[in-house]
Amino acid sequence: MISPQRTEVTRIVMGSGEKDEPLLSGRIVYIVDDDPSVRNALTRYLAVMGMDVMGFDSAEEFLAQLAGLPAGLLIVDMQLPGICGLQLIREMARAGIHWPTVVISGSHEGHEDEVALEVGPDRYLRKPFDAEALLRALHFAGIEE
Amino acid sequence: MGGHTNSDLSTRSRHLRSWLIQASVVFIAYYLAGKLGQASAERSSNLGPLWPAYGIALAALLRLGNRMIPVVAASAFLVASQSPVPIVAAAGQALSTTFAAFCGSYLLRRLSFDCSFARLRDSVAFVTVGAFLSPVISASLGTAVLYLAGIEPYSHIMRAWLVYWMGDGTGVLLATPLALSVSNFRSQIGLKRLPEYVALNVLLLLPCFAIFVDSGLTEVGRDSLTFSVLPFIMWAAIRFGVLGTALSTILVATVATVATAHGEGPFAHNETFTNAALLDVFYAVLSVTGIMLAALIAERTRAEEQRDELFRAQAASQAREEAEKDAALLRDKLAHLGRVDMLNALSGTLAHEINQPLAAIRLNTETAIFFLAKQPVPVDELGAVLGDIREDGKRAGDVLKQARALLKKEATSHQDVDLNSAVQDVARLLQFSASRKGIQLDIVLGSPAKPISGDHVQIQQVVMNLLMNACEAVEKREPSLRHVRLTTSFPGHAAIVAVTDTGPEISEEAMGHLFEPFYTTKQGGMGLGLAICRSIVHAHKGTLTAIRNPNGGITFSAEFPLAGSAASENIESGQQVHINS
Repeated sequence: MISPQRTEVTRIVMGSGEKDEPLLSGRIVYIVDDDPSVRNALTRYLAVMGMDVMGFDSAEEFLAQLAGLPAGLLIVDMQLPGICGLQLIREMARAGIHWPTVVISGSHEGHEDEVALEVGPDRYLRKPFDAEALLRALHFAGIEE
Repeated sequence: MGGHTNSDLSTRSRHLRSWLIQASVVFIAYYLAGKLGQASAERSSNLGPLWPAYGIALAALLRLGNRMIPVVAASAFLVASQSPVPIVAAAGQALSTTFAAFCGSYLLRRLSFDCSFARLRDSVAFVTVGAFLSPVISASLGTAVLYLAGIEPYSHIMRAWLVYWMGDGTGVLLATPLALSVSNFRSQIGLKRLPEYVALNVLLLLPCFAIFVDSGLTEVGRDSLTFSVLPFIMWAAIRFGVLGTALSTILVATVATVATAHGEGPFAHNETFTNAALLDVFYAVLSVTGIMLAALIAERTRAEEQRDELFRAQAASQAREEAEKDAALLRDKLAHLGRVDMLNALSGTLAHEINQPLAAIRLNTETAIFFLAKQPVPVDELGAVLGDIREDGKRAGDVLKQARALLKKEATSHQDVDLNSAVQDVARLLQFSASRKGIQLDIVLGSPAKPISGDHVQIQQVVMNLLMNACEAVEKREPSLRHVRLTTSFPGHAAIVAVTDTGPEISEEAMGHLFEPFYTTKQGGMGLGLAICRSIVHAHKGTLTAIRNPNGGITFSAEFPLAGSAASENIESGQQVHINS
């Protein structure tokens, strides 16, 4: 689950430029997604981008370890078996934890748009999304914090 | 064998009774015909110019078989013994008549003669063998008997033979067709056409009188009028068959014989022997013409009927084929509609299933590009990333392939279908949406002996429909009750896929409507799913049933015959659409 490998980022090839780099580099990002392909791709990409990444395959597992985790950014999938992404965010809010969060979703059947409003439209990404858009969303989320 | 049962006895007594009846009829008919022949016979030798009794004997053996031989012999002996010939000669005459009739009937049967004169070959065989050949035997034996008995002197032997032969021959030509076809009265003449037949015979009497009765009107050329009766005989043959022509010929023969006996008509000019010979020729011409024509007509009528029957059967089978084709087309269209409907409901799931690998591919691509820019390029890491991209690309492609298979709009094809693999494909497609809704989906597969013969897509459609219905039935239940179980089993020559859900209790009434089209409890559903499923299963010669589970929910079972089993033969693409069954 945990992918602690950390890659030093010397250069960011994304067009959004150097400003993102100091903000995101070295930060911890938690990924909650039940799909192993997506989770692994996200983990690897963000690690390559210089972040510390931890992946979880369910909301339940993440919540179980939450108390012992240092604060960080959260990427959560909407469609999770059991507790869904939205419930997870509400659960954390109830516990007083307000980490910058980006919501991703592979299904777009209407009620996902409510979520977009709840977390902010610039932090809601539809799969498949641009890697750049993900970085930007993480960036904005980080700034707001 | 321990003796006869009651039914044996009753069968025997029935046979005896029918033989007695037939024997009496034959005996009396022969006797009367014999008396009629004797009326015109030379008193001394029991030889007449017309001997219808021989015709009766031949008809009896042809129609009723050799068991009539003793009857014919007895009756012939009785008739002969009532003539002036000695008793030994009478016995000889009776035996020669019976033997000749036996030979005639045997030969005719060998030539597969049909007593209904339905074919020209029947008439030809009858005239040649029955009327010309078999009297050669009776005449030869009979004349020999008369000679040996001293009744016919040697000087008259040829003449006696001729009279014998001609009498028996015309007897056959006149009496046998009547005796053989009198039971066909209803089909050949019938009450409805009886007036026409009576009119024919009344008209026939006109030339008869003109020929045979001296009215003083037509003194000249009466002889040449003789054959003016022929058109009437032909009329009878064309319209009233063998029976009609036989009766009319007998009518003419009666008039001619009586007139000639009274010295009237064209056959009364010469000495008795010549008169008799000319009369016989006259009868023979009328009779042979009539019988041949009647047989030709019967043959043509039968051919026409067969042709019409063939046309009708062809038209009917063509119409049936077209109706079956239409029905098959309709069922395929409906099935396709059902799949489109199902995929509509699944579109969210499909999009999700494709978006997941696509998302991974895009992220991995960026990672790969990043690796490529590094010095030196981390080849192992790059290889791993590209491997993942390949896997995800394949995964997205598989989802699309499955969806496309369901959307195929082809007509039903019949190939070997593995029920288990069909179930697995469908389950893969549905697993995600099931787990997302917190539904526990259990798949238990049996091991099949043989595949099903049928349409892969349509069988998948049935499985998918049943699974989707089951998921819908449980998705609103409390989490511990969201359970769907699919099993496949293969007992005997069948393949069964059963889907059990733990949905809410269903009323008896709702159960009754389950398979009705447009009956639905869902919003937005067309209510065609189960109706289409049932029609698909029926088209595969299978059954689709639903039973209520004791603890709520329904179990649907689709049973298909295995390929090669009797029930799977003839799976028709053109079966009725069983939407309403």
